[in-house]
Amino acid sequence: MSCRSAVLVQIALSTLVLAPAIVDAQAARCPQPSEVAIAAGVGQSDHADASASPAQFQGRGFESTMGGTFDLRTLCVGGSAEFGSRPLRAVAGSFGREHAVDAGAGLDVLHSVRDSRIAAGFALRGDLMATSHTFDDASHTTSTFRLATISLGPAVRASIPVRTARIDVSASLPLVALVDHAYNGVWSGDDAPHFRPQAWPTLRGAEAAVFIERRLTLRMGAMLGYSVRAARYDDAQPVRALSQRVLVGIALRTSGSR
Amino acid sequence: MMSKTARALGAAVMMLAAACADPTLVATPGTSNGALFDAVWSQTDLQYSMFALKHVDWDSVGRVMRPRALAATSDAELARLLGDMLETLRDRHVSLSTSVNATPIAYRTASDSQPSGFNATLIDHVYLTPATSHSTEHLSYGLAGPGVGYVRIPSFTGSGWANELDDALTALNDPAHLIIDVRDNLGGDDELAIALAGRFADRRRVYGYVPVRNGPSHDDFTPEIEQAVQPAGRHANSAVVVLTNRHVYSSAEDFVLALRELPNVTIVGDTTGGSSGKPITRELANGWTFTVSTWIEYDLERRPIEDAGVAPAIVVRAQPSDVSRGVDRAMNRALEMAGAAP
Repeated sequence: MSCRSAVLVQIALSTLVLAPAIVDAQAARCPQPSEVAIAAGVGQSDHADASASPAQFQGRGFESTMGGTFDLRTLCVGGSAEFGSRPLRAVAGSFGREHAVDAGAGLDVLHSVRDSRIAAGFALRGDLMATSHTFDDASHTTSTFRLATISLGPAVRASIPVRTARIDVSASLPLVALVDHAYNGVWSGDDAPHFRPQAWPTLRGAEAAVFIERRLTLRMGAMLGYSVRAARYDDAQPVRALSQRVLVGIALRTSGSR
Repeated sequence: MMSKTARALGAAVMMLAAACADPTLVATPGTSNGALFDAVWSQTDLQYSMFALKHVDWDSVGRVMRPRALAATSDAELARLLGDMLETLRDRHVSLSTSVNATPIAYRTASDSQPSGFNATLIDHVYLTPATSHSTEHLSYGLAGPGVGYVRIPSFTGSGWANELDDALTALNDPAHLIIDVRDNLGGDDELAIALAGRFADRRRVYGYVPVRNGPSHDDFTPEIEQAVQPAGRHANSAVVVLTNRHVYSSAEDFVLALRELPNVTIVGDTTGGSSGKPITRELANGWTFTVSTWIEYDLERRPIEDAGVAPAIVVRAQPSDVSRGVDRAMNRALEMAGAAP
């Protein structure tokens, strides 16, 4: 990962670390109210999958996400699902073109720590990145490549009330994972995933998000958010990926206001 | 206080988005002679499937060829050297292309350039009843005698045209005997070839096995994956003779291999070319592309198809003078088997 990308992740995580200093103490399991949210926006994906090409590809496209956070007994449980689709081009050189489809789902199980504005626990995530690579050859051969991960690692979430708005910050770090990475592309005779157990540092990653939610009514709020996810898979055919999203959406509260 | 914090965080978000407009995840691949050579050598090293089968010491090849590549003084010379390196694999599916319009630099044997003794025009003019002879975009068919249908499939390139064979079988009105001619078929799309073979299958039948390269060591392979043909499209009940020769390659060999396992099919002609690797395309930073084989294909007896080819049940070799004499020996034999005198 480049210095620039590393700095980006560090800044996002630093934001998370600094958040506790400015939160107000209140009693609840989730840092934010129980709510469901749906958002859509634009994302930028940068990735380099050596099984497809030695080059880095980049593109922007549609992104959508939906999720919810709920108090469940003594725990704060969050679920989310994301989808994105975008055309990609090589950042430099002559390397054909790609179309990437990302889909992911996550389940966070958190518990309040220090005060109710911060919760920490574990995140279970499943992510799939399917890349259709059209080679720059005479017949424009197209091959499909796949990186699928099911990962488990620590997660933390914080919520900062700001007058009539709220800033939610979250981050997670996969430590152990099952990884399916198509070594030579996916073909019809063997398109089932072959998951292999991997752990840090073979698979390294981080995910962070900052959402600002402004309450519109008692039950509904408008959201603006930015999220970043970085992944590095050090296989014989290594993968580097960085995806960023800017999302706008609405959140509907399922519990009383906080 | 909080408002300032919110503004600061908002500003941080904007800065992050702006800062990451063009993150660099990997170094841009180079275009120097050394970088291009290393890319070809290392990607082949990582992905090629038949080093052991071909008895090739790839490290040694790299050591010998790299200094010569570094000393190349032109793109043409470098391309020739990279082509020479890839040709040490003696694999027709391994090739280097320097542009979309350029003829790929690829391994060829002497037999590849020898006349095959097959002439499609001869078949059309001498063997097929003119009134029954038709062509679609991808195949030709007609009657070669009473109750003897003939279908020529010159290539398996493209996809989605398997229904043309259904139409041909319908037009031929389910003949008792059917000659499927794939001579000089250089291959194309595997899935299409097996979908076409499925027209003759009575049930799912395994016809081979393929381990696929899946790791950095030259002997890293997936478990053997079954290759099977199963009924598809319009079923042909005919007794089938498949005509083959040395110029049948790749997915056309898959087609022959699959049909060979069917009880109603007899393979007649010469052994196929023996080019069975499933190629994947790789790209170089200067716009060149190359391909490498990624699997080893075995028949049911675990014999590799590469170099050996698929042997016919009845060997009929064409002679150089056949075409000029207006004779097609394999066709004659197929007609004899169908009880129709040539």
